[in-house]
Amino acid sequence: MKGFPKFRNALFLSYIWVSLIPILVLAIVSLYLLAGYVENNALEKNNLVAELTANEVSTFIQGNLNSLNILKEALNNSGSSDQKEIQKLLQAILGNHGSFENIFILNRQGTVTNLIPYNPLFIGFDFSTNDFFTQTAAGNRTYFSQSFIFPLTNLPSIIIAIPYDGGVIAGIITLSGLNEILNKIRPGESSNAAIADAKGAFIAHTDLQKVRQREIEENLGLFRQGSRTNSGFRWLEYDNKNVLTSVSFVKNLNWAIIIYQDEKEALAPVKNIRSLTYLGMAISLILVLFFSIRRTYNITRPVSKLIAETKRVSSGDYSSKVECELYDEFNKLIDEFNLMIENIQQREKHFSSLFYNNGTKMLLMDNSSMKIIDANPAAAEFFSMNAEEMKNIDINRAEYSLIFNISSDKNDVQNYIVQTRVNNSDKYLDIYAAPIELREGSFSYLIIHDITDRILAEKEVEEYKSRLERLVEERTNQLSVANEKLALELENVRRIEENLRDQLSFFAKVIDTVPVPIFIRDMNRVYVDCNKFFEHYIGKTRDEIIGRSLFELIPEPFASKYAAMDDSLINLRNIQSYEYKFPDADGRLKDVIFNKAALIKADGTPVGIIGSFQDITEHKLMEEEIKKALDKEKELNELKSRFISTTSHEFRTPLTAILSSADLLEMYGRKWPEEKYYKHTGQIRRSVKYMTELLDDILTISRAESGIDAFSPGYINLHEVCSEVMESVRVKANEKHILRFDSQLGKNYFNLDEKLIRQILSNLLSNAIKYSPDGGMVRLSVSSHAGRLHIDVSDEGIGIAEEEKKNLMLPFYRARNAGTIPGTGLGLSIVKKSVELHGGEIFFDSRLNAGTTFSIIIPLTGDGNEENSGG
Amino acid sequence: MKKILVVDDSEDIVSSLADLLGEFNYLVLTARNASEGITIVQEHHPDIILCDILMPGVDGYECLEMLKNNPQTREIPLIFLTARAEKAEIEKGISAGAVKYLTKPFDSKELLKIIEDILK
Repeated sequence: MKGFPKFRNALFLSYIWVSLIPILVLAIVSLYLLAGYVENNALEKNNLVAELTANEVSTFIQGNLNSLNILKEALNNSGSSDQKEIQKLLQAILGNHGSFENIFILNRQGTVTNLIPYNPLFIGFDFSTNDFFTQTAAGNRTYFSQSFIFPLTNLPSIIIAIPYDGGVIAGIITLSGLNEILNKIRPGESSNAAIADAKGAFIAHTDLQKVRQREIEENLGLFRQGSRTNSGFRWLEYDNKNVLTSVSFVKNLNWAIIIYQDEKEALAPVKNIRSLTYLGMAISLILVLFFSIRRTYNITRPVSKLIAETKRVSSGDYSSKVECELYDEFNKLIDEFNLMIENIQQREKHFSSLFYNNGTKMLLMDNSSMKIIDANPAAAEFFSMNAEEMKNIDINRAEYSLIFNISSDKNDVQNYIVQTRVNNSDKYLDIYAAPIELREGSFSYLIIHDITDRILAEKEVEEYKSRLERLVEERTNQLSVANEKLALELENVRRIEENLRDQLSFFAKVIDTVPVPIFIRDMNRVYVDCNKFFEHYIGKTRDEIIGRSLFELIPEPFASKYAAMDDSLINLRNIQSYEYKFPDADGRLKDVIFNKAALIKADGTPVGIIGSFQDITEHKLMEEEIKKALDKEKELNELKSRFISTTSHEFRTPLTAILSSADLLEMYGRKWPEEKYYKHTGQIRRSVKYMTELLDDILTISRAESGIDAFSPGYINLHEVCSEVMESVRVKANEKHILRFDSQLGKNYFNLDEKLIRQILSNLLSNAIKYSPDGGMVRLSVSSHAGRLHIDVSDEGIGIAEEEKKNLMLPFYRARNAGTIPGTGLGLSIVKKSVELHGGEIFFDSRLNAGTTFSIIIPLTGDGNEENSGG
Repeated sequence: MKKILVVDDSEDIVSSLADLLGEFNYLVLTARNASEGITIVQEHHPDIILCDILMPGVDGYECLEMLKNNPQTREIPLIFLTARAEKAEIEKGISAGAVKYLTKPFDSKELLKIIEDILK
C-alpha cells in the first residue's frame, strides 16, 4: 500500500517527539539561564574590583595630599621663617610617604624657597609661569596636574600643588605605587588591570610596557558613559581577544580604572556546564531511541504477525494460527483472527470436497494464460488424463477450444452445448461456465455434463421416426410401379447377360495373349484360372492346373512362402509386389517380381487373389556383371595410383645419385684425381642405365596392361631361344655361377610370343643368379607334355620368406632379404603378365636360404602347335 | 672436426655424400641400413645424422624413434633425405621429430647450408 504512512514509523516518531522535546527545552533553558548568571556574576565581581581599585587609588592620592596638608598647617603656623625646621618637616614627610619624588615650597612669587630632597641649585628657581603654580595661586585651591613621565625616574608621575599662606607647596608623586595596587587586586590569571588618566594615557598597567610607551586607552569616552550605568562592558576586543571589561573612575582626578578579563576564563564555568548538558542530552537521546524502538517493536509485532498470517491465508494456506501477545486488545484481535481462519478452513474443506469428490466434471481455468489450473478427478477421468496433464492441455487445440469457448466473453455466466471429439469419440457436452474474479486474476469455473448418450438417443429416435414415415410412403409408391417395371427388367436382364458373356470371352482372350503369366487362386489356395503364359511357365496344361492346390503344383519351400504372402495380402485387402524365386517347368530357379491383388466381393468378403509375375533373371545377371566390372575398375585405379607413387620414388633415387655426382664434379671435378673423377662419372652412367632399364620395364608392363600390341605370337624354336637367353645371362653373371639347361623340346616350333618368352626367361634367370651366392647352381628345364609347356627355373639362393610370398608378384615389391641387391622390383610382375598373356600360370616353391623354383605352365593352342618341323 | 653420419641403402648416394661432406672437412660416417646406423650413433655420437626413410629392415621412422627413446642420442639432430615427396610424408617426418625433411633429388649446396645452420 503506497501513499500511506507506516503505523510503526508514526509510533516511533511520536515516542521520539514526546520524550525529546522536554529534554531539549529543559537543556536549552537551563543553559541560557546559567550562562547569564555566570556572566553577570563575573561582571559584578569585576565591577566591584574596579570600584575597590578606584577607592584604593583615591586613598593613595589622598594620603599624599594629607601629607602636603600637614606640611601646609606646619608652614602656616610657623610663619615659614626657619628653613631648617622646614627641612626637618620635609624629611619626615618624605620618610612617611615614599611616593614623593620631590616636594617644592614656593613663595608667592613662584620661586623655590625650599625643597626635598634638598638641592641648593633649585633654591630660587622660578616656577611662576608653570600651570601648577599659576592655577594653584590664582584659584587658591588644590591642583592635580596631568600625568607625565618624570625625567629623573622615567616613571609616570603627577604634580599635586596646594596653596599655603606664604605661597604654594608642590609635590611630584611617582605613580609606580599604583601598579602595586593593580597587581594586588587583579581578578584572574588572564586578566589585565590598567589605570588611564583623564586623557586616556595609561599611568599604570599590569603590562608595564604600555605605560612606558605612553599608550592611550581609546575607549575612554565609551567608558565614561558606561560607568554611569554601572553595567560594565561585556564584550570588548583587547589584544585580539574577547574580554569582559569593567571600569570605575577615581573622584577628582577623573582617572579610569579598567579591568579586562579574558572571556574564556570568565565564562569557564559556563563551558563546563554546557559540556555536561550536552552529555546528558546524548545519553537521554540514546535512552529515548532504545526505549522507542523497543516499545514500537513490541506494539507493532502482533500487527506484523497478523499481516504475514493473513498473506499466507490469502495465498491459500489455511493452516495458520497466531499465538497470544502482550496486549489485551491484540490478544482479542488474534483470537478473532484464529477463529476466522478456522472458519475459512472449514469452508475450504467443504468446497474442496464439493469440487474434488464431485461426480460432475469440474474445471478451473485461468482466463489470462488460458491454462487449466485445476480439474477434479471426474473431469480428469473424462479426458483420460491425470491432473498434471490436464494443466498442460493446449486450450487452443480445435477440440478443446470448443469446450472452453475461448473466443467468448469470460465475464458472463454461460451455458452452451458443444459437439466435439474427446479421446477419439464424438461427444456432446453441456457446459456451464461462470467467471470468478480473484485478486490473482480472472478465472472461469466450468461444469461439464456429458450428454452424448442422451443426444444420440434423441437423434436415433428422430431418425427412426422419419425412416418409418419414408418407408411407408415408398412402399405405397413401389407397389404401384413394381408391376410395370417387372416386365421391362426381364428384358434388360436378358440383354445384359448377353453383353456380359461377350465381354468375358473378350477379356479371356486378352488375358491369354498377354505375355505375362497370370493366375487366380481361391481362399483354399486352389487355382481357379490362369492364362496361357502361366501354363507355359509351369509346364502344365490349363486342365492340369485348374482345381489343383498351390501345394500340389509348386514345390516347397516356395509354396509355403507364396501362401504366407497371400495371407498377408488378404488381411490387408491391398495389392502386393515382391521379389522372389520361382521354379520353372525345367526346375530352374528364376528371379521374379510378383504383383498380386486381393479379390474382394462387394460385401467385403475376400474370395481369393489374382497374381502375375515378371521374370527378371536376365536383369539380375546383368546387374552382377556391371558390379564386377566396377570393382575391377576400382582395383585397377588403385593399382595405377600406387604404381605411379612407387615409380616416382624409384626414379628419385638414381636421380639423386646423378645430381649429387654432377654437383660434386662441377665443384671439385677439376682438382680431383682421375680415379675419383671417373668414380662419379661412372655413378652417373650407372644411374642412367638403371633408370633406362626401369623405364623399359615400366613400358613393358604398361604395354601388357593396356593389351595393345601386347601379344603377337608366332611359331618359334623355343629350344634355340632358351639357349640364346642362357648365353647372354651367363655373360652378365661373369661365370661365377653354374648354369644348367635341360630341354626335352627338340627342334619343335611352338606358337608363342618370342619377345615375351625372352622377357620371362631373362628375368627369371637373372633373378636366380642375383639372389644366389657365387658358385650356386641355376637350372632351367623346359618340356612339353599333354598339350602344355612347362618351364622351371630353380636356384640355390636366399629363398623367399613365407609372409612375403603373396605379394611377391606385385610391381616394385621387393622381399626384405633382397637387401642391397640392386633391382627394380618389376621383373616378376613382367614375368607374371607375360605368362598371363599366353593364358598360362606361374607358381613358385621356396625355402629361406635353401632356394627357389619358379614353375610356368602354358597351354599350347593353335593348329599344329607342337609342330615338328622336320627335326 | 664435426662428425656426420649418413644412413642410406643406396651405395651411390652414400658415396657421393661422403665425398661432398669430406670436401668440407666433416668426418663422415656411413651406414647402409638403420640398425648399422644406430650402432654407429651409440659408438661415435655424431653431431648430425642424414637418414633415408625407405630402407630394407628398420625404416627411417623406426630408426628416429629408437634414437629419440634413448636419452643419450635424443638430442642429435636428424635430417631425413628421402625419395618420398608427398606432402603428407613431409609432415609425418617433421612431426616425428626430424629437424629437416629433404626430398631427393636435393641440391648439394642447400644440404650444406642446412648442415651449417644446424651445427651453428
